[in-house]
Amino acid sequence: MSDLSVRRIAEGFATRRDETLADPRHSTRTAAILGISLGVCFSVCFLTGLYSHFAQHPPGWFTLPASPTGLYRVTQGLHVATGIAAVPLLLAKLWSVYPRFFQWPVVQSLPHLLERLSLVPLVAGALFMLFSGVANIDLWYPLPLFFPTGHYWVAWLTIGAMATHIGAKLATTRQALRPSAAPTSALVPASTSASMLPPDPGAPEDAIVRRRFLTMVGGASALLTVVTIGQTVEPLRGLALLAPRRPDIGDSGFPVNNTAAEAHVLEKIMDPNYRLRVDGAVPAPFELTLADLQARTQHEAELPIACVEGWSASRVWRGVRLRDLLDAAGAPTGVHVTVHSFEDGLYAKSEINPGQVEHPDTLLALAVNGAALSPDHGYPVRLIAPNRPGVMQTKWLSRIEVHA
Amino acid sequence: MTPDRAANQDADHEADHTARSYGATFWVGLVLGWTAIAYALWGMYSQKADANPPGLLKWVFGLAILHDAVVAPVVTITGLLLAWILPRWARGPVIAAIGVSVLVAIFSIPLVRTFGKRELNSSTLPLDYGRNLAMVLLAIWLVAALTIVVRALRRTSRTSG
Repeated sequence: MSDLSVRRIAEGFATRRDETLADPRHSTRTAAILGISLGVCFSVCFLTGLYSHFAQHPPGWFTLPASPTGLYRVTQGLHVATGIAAVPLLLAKLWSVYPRFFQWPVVQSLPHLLERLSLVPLVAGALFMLFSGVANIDLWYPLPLFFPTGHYWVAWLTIGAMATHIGAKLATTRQALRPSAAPTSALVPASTSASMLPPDPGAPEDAIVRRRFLTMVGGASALLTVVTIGQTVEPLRGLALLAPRRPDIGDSGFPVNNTAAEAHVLEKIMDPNYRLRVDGAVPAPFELTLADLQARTQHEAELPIACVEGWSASRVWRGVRLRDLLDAAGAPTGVHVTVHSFEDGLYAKSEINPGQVEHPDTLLALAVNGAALSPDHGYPVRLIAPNRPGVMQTKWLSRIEVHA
Repeated sequence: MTPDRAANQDADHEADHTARSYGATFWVGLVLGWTAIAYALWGMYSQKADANPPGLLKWVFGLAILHDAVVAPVVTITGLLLAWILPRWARGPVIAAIGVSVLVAIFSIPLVRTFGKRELNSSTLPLDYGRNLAMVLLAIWLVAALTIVVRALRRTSRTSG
């Protein structure tokens, strides 16, 4: 192929790219609107995800509060719902700016090179976060890694790349979103328009094209939200056509993250010699049978099981207050407690901070919604406490350990 | 290209030029952003056993390559073909309906194929997702059909008015 032919092809390609960029769906205004929407969604996901991470792995300076009792339900429901809503936004944004991928020259300066390099972790991280998150709530694990760890560290990668992108595009975005009340480009020469007017000169047909495109994208986000949000907003459960869980479906009428059979605890929890031990840094350690627990004063609390996967279900629990058992063992106020399960592995135990230990709704539950706990929901006794991730509402309790 | 479109393009270049002045905001964002990226890489390698950095990064960058090299070109070419094939009155709603339908269908693959269904846990993926997906797709196409009819009626009333 001669040099002339190559040049003609390159010029034709560049002309086509420039024509595409002049389409309002590919303009900086469209990219700015989608970018801000995505920025808000990713920020919400990052902050709620960070809260969930700290709730499960609290650093020294962080204490998971006991109230509001449904806070984790809201933050984690928001985390998953926002991530789902961001899927159409991200794909639309990538489609909108895709022609800019072919800008020429590829690199114009050192800062431009750094700006373009930062797009690699941004695009890669954003796609990974949404793909891995959706796969996880669908209980599908195709990735060769432990999901929470991978999702957490790629969140930092993505938010870092997003900060870089915001720094690079802030001026462009502000300019692109200036009110387009000024005279339209149809009324002024293009050269004047370029120097004085916002990037959306406001040609009526362009405004319509852009509005229709953004309506479609927003509609797709709304649609995915409507068909999934019922997994945590119980009144909308009838609309949850594509939700991986329904808050009203499962053993005893609500979902189970891990069944007794899956956790291999059936033999231990059905043992007639079952005992719950209360020990650790207490003057009077003791053991209780199930009958002993049932004979003690019972209390009720309406609390949600709020799963990290975004579903939640609020139920009325009945059982013994944790504080009552600690009093019987002589434990002072302000202690940390570890509850141990018959289950092995990741969910074998969980920590309860002093604020949650003292909360009157922190129960060792024996019943839910008026019926004894089923094996899948934690029989003979489970922890239920306010504002905790579902994985920390430990089931099949064998021991309560008090720390000094 | 129409004069409006040309103006749009000029304005876009102007907007890009503003960004390329690379003021303090850019450098602050760059330093903060790459600090977080470095922290992320450190974190992945400090929890190697769980994060499996080589496998993780293969997926992270593999998805980006899949998007840029396969998905985006296929979507672009399909869009151009559809715009060429479809009559003007149906173009917008039909292309939008196809786009949203494909998106919802891909979103539903793990549900419809029940990749995560666990035999010992009846609360996992408990619905008939094939039927539910069909209902959602039907709703999307009803909206598209309604949009075409409403626009046609508006055109007719304008013409007759």
